[in-house]
Amino acid sequence: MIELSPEIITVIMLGGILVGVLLGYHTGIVVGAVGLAVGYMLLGSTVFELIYQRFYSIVLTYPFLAAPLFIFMGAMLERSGVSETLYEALYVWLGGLRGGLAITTVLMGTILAACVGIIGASVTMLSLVALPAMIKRGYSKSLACGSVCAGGTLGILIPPSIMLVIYGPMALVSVGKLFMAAIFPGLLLSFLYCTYIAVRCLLQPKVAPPVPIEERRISFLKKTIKVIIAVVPTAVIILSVLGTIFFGLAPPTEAGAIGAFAATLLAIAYRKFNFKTLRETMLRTLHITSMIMLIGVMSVAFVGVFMSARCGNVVQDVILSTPGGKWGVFGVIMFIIFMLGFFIEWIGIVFIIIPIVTPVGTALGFDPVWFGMMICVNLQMAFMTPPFASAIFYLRGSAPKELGITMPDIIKGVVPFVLLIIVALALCTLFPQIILWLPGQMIR
Amino acid sequence: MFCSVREWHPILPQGGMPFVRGTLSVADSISEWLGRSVSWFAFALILVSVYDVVLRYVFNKPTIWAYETSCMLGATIIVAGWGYVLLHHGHVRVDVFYSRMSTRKKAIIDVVCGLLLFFPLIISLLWTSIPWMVDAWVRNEVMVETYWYPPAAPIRTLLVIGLAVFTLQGIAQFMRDLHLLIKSEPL
Repeated sequence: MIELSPEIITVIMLGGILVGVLLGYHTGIVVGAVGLAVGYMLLGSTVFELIYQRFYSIVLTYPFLAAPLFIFMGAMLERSGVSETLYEALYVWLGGLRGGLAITTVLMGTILAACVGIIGASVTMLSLVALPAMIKRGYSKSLACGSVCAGGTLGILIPPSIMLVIYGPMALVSVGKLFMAAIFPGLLLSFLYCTYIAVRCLLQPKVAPPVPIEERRISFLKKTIKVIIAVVPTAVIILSVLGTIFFGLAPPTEAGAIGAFAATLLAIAYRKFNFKTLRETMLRTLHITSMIMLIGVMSVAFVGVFMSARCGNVVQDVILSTPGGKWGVFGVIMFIIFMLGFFIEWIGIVFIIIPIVTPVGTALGFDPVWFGMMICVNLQMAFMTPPFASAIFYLRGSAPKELGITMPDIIKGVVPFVLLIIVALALCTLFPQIILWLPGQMIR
Repeated sequence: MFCSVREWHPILPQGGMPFVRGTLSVADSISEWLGRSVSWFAFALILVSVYDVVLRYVFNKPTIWAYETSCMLGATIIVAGWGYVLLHHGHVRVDVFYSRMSTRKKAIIDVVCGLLLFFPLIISLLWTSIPWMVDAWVRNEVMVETYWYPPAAPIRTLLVIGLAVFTLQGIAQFMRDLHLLIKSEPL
C-alpha cells in the first residue's frame, strides 16, 4: 500500500482512463482496470471484494431493468412498419413547403424518439428513409445530414429514453420524474429545429426545393386512413406507457414491461411477428443491455475506488473553486461535460461523472431534476460533435453510398443544430419551468 | 463504438494449427450459444412483469417473487451477454484513432491491453466470485430484498458462468490477435 495524496491519485485515475480509452480499447475494461490497479495500490486485496460487491449490486439493480424492456419495446415497434407509413404521409402533407422534407425528418425523429430510447435506431432509420428522399429532391447535402443527425438524436432525450433510465439511479433521482421533465425540452428542441429549417429555406430557397405536385397527388382520404391504422395503436401504446408513469400507477420498469408486451401484440396484429422477429429483437435487447452494463459495472467499481481515495472531494473542490458563484460553477460543470462528450460517449459520462458532480449541484441548491435534464440536453451536443459523435457514426454507416455524402457536408450541416441546442440550454436556464412544470404536476 | 454490430465471419478451417483453430471455434460456439439462450430471458422478463402487474391491478394479489425474479433475469442477461457481445465486436470502443490504424496496430493494442487490462480485471473478478458462489451453496444464502427470501446460489452461479464464458471469449480473441501479430495473417 502506497501513500499518495488524493490529488495525485485523481490525476492518475482520470489520466489513465483518458489514455486507455483514446487508445481504442474497450471502454468498460479500461475503466475497470484503472480502478483495479489504483485500488490495489491503495487498498490491497480488499479491492477485489469491493469490485465484486459493486458488480453484484449493480447487475441486480431493479430500476435498470427498464433499459432492456424499453429497448425491446422500441425494437418491436420498429418492426411494425409504422415509421415508413408515417413518413409517406408526412411527405405528402409537408412536401410542398420549402424545406418540408427536412421538417418531416425532424418530426419523424421526434415521433421515433417516443418509440425508441436509443439514438442508433432512429438515426439509422432516418438515414435509410429520409436522407435519400431529400437528396434526390435536390436538398443541400449539409441541410439533409444535419436534420437527420439532429432529429435522430432526439431519440435519447424524449422518453422512454435509456439514458434517463441509467441517469436516475446514478443521481438518485426518480426515473419517472426525469421522463416527464424531458418531454418539453425535447419538444422545444424539435420546435427550434423546425423553425430554423423553415426560416433558412425561406431565405435560401435553393437549399430545399419543394416536391413537385405530381408526386404528392395521392388520394388524401386513402392516405389518411392508412396513417390512422398505422399510427393510432402505436400512439396509444406510447401514451399509455407515459401516462402510467405520469399518474404514478407503475414505476418505469413495469410500464416498460407492459409497453414491450403491447408492442409484441401489435406486431402480431400487423402480421409482422414471427419466430425470427422475436429472436432478433431479443438478441438486440441482450446486445445493447449487456454492452451498456459492462461500462456500467466497471464505472461503478471505478467510482467506488475513486471515492474511497477521496478523489471525489478533490474534483468537487476544484469545481467549487471556480469564480462567479453558483452559476460560474454550473457553467464549468456544463463545459466539462461538453468537452468530455467529444471523446467519451454518454454511457461513460453518466456512469462516472454523474455520481461525482451531482453532490456539487445539490450542494449549490440546484433542483436535481433540472440539473440532470440540463446535463442530458447538453449531452445531445455530444452525439453530434466530432470526433466522437454517435449520430454521425450511424449516419455514415447506414446512408446509401451513392448519395456521396462527405464528412465536411455532415459537419457543416450539424453546426447550426448544435448552436440551437445551446439556445435551448439558455432558454431552460432562464425559464426552468420548461423542465420542471410537468414533473411538478405528477401525482406522486 | 456504441453498439456497432459488425458482421461476424466464422473462421473457416484452412490447414495449419487445426487444434488451436478448433479450440477457438468451440469458444465462439459457447459464447454464441449462451447469448442466444439467455436472450430468451428478455422475453421471460416481460412475461414475469406483466403477470405481476395483472395480478396486482386486476386481482389485487401481487406476487412476492416477481421483483427478485426480474432482477435475477436482468443480471443474467447482462453478464451472459458479455461474451456474446465480445464475439460480435460489439463492446464500446472510442475509435477516434483506433479506426484509422492498420490491422497490425489494432492487433498490437488489443494484445497489450488484453494482457494488462482485460485478463487482470476479468480473471480477478471471476476468481473473487467463485468463493461467493461456493459460500452461497454451502450456507444456503438467501436474498433479503423482499419477503420472498430466494436462495442466492443460482444467480451467483450464473454470474460465475457468464464471467467464465467472457474470459474464454477474451482468450479466443487474444489468440487471434496474437496470431495476426506473429504470422501477419488472420487465424
